[in-house]
Amino acid sequence: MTSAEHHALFDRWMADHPGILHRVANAFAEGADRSDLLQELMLAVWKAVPAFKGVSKASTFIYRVAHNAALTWKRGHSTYRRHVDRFEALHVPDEPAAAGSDGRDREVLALLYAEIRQLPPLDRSLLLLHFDEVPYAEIADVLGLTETNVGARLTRTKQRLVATLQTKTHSHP
Amino acid sequence: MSTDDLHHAWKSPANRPSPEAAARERAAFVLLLQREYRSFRFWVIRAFSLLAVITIGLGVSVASKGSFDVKGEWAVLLLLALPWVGAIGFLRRHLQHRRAHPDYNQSVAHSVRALLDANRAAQQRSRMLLGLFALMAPVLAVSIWQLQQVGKARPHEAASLATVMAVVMVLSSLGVYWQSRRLRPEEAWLTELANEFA
Repeated sequence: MTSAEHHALFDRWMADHPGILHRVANAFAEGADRSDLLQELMLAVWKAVPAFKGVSKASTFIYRVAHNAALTWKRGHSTYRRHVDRFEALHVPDEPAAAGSDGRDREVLALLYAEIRQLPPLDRSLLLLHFDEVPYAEIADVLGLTETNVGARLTRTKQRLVATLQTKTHSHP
Repeated sequence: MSTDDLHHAWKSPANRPSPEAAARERAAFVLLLQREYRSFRFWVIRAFSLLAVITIGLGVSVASKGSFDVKGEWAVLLLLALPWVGAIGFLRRHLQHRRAHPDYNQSVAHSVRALLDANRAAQQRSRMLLGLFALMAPVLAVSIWQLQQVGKARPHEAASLATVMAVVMVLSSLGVYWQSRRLRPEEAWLTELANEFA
């Protein structure tokens, strides 16, 4: 693979699947760590591009790379943070204030991600893939579990998650 | 809050980066890649220039004090060769590490187990490196003794050389030991993670 092909494929993946890395970063880190992890995920995908043989779908490959990198990410061990901080100091990252249903979605997502971050790492990955509507067979293939195991773990984790969120939203209306 | 609410929020635009945010992160990433490559080139040039200066300096110093007797002064050659072997080995490992990535055609569980194996292999390499340092100590002693024997180092020069080299070796050994210790918590954490997939 030439350097130009490497760049082109990476750019296409980032354009075609803009949300995957963001959702994984949100589920595994918050605040400054999130920027750090997101850069680490992009770096992992960048490095993995030549290993893509087209056997699986590009999205499956990206899931595998991203979940792999997130699960084995060592918080605070990276030197990327200072690069990112330096860059962010030069740019204003403010998102526009959300209103209406967008604002409600943001609230739900903030609560949801906060709860996902409390889960064991493997359950986080399972939930992310499930919410992204990845079929059980593909989840099993990405993570290296059996389909039965995926189903059983997901049912337990989802029930626990919904119960916790309901308790929290009722106690903080 | 129902699962429908969660799925609705999950699919909403709020759960995707805005084009501006995506462009900003991409720009930060490009900057990061450029810096990574620049700092790597700088590190290689600096390390190998330093080694070249030391080798040439030592070579000129030994040669200027008379002809070089390989039979009587072989230990100096060994002493000069060892840092080069070490530096080239380190560079090779670093390049392999930069290129290395888990086999993404395999599952995440497989990659976690591979990482655990790599961690244990790195600990084993550290132990081997400490063994190599232990072997270098007598080589160093012999080379200094030989330099004194052939009259290329006076006693106080030999003592200074021995002190400097001993300090360098002790510091290097401590560095390797410290690196090796840092791998242990990672091994425990990877073992825990691998067990989750079991």
